This record gives sequence, C-alpha cells and structure tokens, in this order.
Amino acid sequence: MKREMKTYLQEAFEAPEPVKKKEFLQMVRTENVSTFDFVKAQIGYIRKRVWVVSVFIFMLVLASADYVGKESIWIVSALVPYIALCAIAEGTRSTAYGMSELEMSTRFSLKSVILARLTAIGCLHALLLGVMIPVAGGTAFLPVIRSGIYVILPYLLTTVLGLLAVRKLYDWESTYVCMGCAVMVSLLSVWTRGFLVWIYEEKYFIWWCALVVYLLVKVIKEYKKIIYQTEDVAWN
Amino acid sequence: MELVIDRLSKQYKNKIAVDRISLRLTPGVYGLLGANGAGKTTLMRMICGILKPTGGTVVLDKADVSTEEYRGKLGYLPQDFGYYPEFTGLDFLMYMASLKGLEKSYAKRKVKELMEVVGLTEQAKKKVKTYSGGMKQRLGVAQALLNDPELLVLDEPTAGLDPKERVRFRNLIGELGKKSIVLLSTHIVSDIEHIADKVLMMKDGQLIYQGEWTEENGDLEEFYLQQFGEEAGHE
Repeated sequence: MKREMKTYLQEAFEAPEPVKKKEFLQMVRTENVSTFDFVKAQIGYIRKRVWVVSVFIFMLVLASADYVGKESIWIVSALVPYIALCAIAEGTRSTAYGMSELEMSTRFSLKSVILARLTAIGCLHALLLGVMIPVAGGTAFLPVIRSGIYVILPYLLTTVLGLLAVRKLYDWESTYVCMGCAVMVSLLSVWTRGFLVWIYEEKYFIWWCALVVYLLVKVIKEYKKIIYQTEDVAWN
Repeated sequence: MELVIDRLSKQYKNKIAVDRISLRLTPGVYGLLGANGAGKTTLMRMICGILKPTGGTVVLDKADVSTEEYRGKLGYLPQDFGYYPEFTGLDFLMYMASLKGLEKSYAKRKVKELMEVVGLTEQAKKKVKTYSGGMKQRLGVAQALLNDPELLVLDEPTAGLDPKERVRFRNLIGELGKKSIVLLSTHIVSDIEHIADKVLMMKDGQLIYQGEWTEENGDLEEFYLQQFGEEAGHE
C-alpha cells in the first residue's frame, strides 16, 4: 500500500480498541523452542570475556611461535590453565550466583544449561587447542600427540582443582579460588619445565597419558557431584 | 487438571523432613502454613522437581515430576534466589524465558506484559543488583508467570513486599487461581485468609490439617498458634 494512502486511511478512520487481545495472543502463541534453538540461545548468554580470553591466548601463542620458537609449546601449557578457568567459571556460574534453584525448575533445567554452555566452550577450546598444539609442538619438533598431552594435562588439572573449589565453597568466592588454582598450575608448568626437565623425556610419556585419563574421569565425576550436591545444599 | 501427590517423603540421615504426604490439588489457591522447619520448603522443592524424594510420586495430569513436560507447566518462585550480576530486570526475564523454552518474539511480548503487571516497567533496564528487596521479589513473581503455568508454586511470595504491593499480589494470585493450581507457603496467616481457597497446615513433616477454612472454623491465626503453641512459647 502506498504510504500516502495509508496516511489518508489512518486520518479518515479511527481503529477500534483491541478486544480480548490477551486471549488472541495466547491462541496464536508460537511453538516452544527446540533443543537446538535452546543451545543456540545459551551461547548468547556465555559471557564475552570467555571468548575474548580464549581468543587472546590463542593469538598470543600463535605470535610467540614465531618469536620464541621451540619453547612455544611450554608457553601454551603455561597459558592453558587460564583458558580452562573460563570454562569452569561458565560451567559453575549458576551455583556461584545462586541461580541453581530457579534453573532446576525450568523446562530446560540446570543440567541442560551446563551441558549447553560447556559444549559451546568445549568446541571453541577444542578448535583453539587443535590449532595451537601442532603449531607450537611443531616448533619444538615434538609429535602432535605428545604435544597435546603436555598441553591438555594442565588444562584438566586446573579444571579438576577449580571444580573441587566450587563444590567445597559453593558461592561466588569460589571464583577467586579457581583463579588461584589456574595461577598455581600455570606456575607449576613453568617450574617443572625449568627444574624437572627429565619428566618430559619420552620414557615417562606413558605416565603423562595415564594422568590425563585419570584427570578426565575426575572432571566428569566432579561435574556430576556439583549437580548432585546442588539439591542437598539447597535444603541445608 | 490435577496434581496428585502420593505418599511423598524425604528423609535425611536423622530427620524425616516430609513424611508420607498425599494430596490431590485441582485449580485453586492452596495456602501452606507451618512453622520454620515444618517441611514446607522441602515439600515445595520436591513438587518442583528440585529435590529427589525418598519415596512417593508427584504427577501433574499424567506427567511425572521428573519429566520436561511437567517442568514446562510449572512456575516456581523460591524463598530466596540469586541473579547474574550483569543482568538487568529485562535480561533476567528474557533469560528465564529462554530456559522455559519460550520463542523469542513471544517472550518479548510476555516480558513486557509481566513487567507492567508487577509494576517494574520503569526499572526494566536497570541492573537487578540495584533493585530493592521488594522489587526483586516482584521480579521473581514475574519470572514464575512467564510460561502461563498450570502449576504455580510460591515459597514466601509476599516476603519483602509493602502492604500496597501485598494487596496487588493477592489480587493477582486470586485471578491466577481460577485457571491454575497455585500453592503458596507463608508465615503470614492473613495472606492465607485473604487469598487461599484451601489451607494446608504442616507440622514436623506431616499434614495436620487440609481443607477449606471458613468462619465456622474460628480464627485461623488462633488455630495456627494452638497447633504451634510450643514453638511460639519459645520465641
């Protein structure tokens, strides 16, 4: 319709007041969202700092690969705890800020929220690590798998310690303890590289693999415990 | 529409918090009265699927409490709830709408409508951390109503509300009770007298009274104090 015609019609006739607007709107209410749409929406609620920190560290590593050369893999393993910290912070946000009870009572409950957030962040971290490890490992002339293990272990260690802190403290102060854990693991990476170089020899690689498997299982168990604990602590 | 609670129990190591409670609730307003530690909040949490019962079942129109279908029909206001610090009132409601599975455009309309209903339109774009206790409580009521729940569970909903807000709230609940099952717990006996169609009284995890409360029954507050007279004497 031409704009002028529309204006003339509006001037000539007064639109009647809507009757039973609420009932009509409820009738034409659109279908509820699907699980996929829910996950997409949850990505929007992940704090921007998570993406910024993760990408910043990624860019730092790529830049250092050129300047630092073969030591860049150890820089990655020292920085990776801070990426893990982002994942912990997002995964435990509901608990830290007292939103668990509300989120447990909704259609997409707390478990779905945590899973959606961690899936999104996990995919991002997997992508970043998937690029960082071969790039940095290549400069140190290490096989990709070995480089990956040296990087993933501090990531998992930070995650386990952080989740333990969240479970024991159960409030927003746990965020500071998680930061402390990340700093501690980062410094540990640097220290072992400087003073315990022998543990990076190939003959000890099997122990590294065993530790990674152990920590992976611990991470899954800790997340389950946090979700399980939420209902008991809520009552107490 | 019917909520069937069958021999619902919650036992901890050395305490039975809820002891084999059975109820059949149809649309209307049910007031849950009881002293501190009577088991009201535990019962409500089990009805909302937040706490796993030790025994018994909770079913709303054939949907078990553990199902997504049940939670889709539920609106819950906890006694105390937190918020993400960066959220405004509007963000908070839109976030809760996404968790309740509401489509975005519908959610926007519904949030706007509910902000008007609870009187928070002017504070919608302010951060929740700047809200007073009463404003936060009203925000909590709004989020509970987002999905037009068939079952509305409100734990101490009038806490922090001033008298004018309390009257407004009573009118709102009265309207909702015509179509939905509304279960509200409170220490404020006058709230029950004004709003509730039926009274449920809990003591030590058990239901000691359930039914309508009419003038023939006498003064509700007096009856309440008689039942909990021991605890009232210690205060």
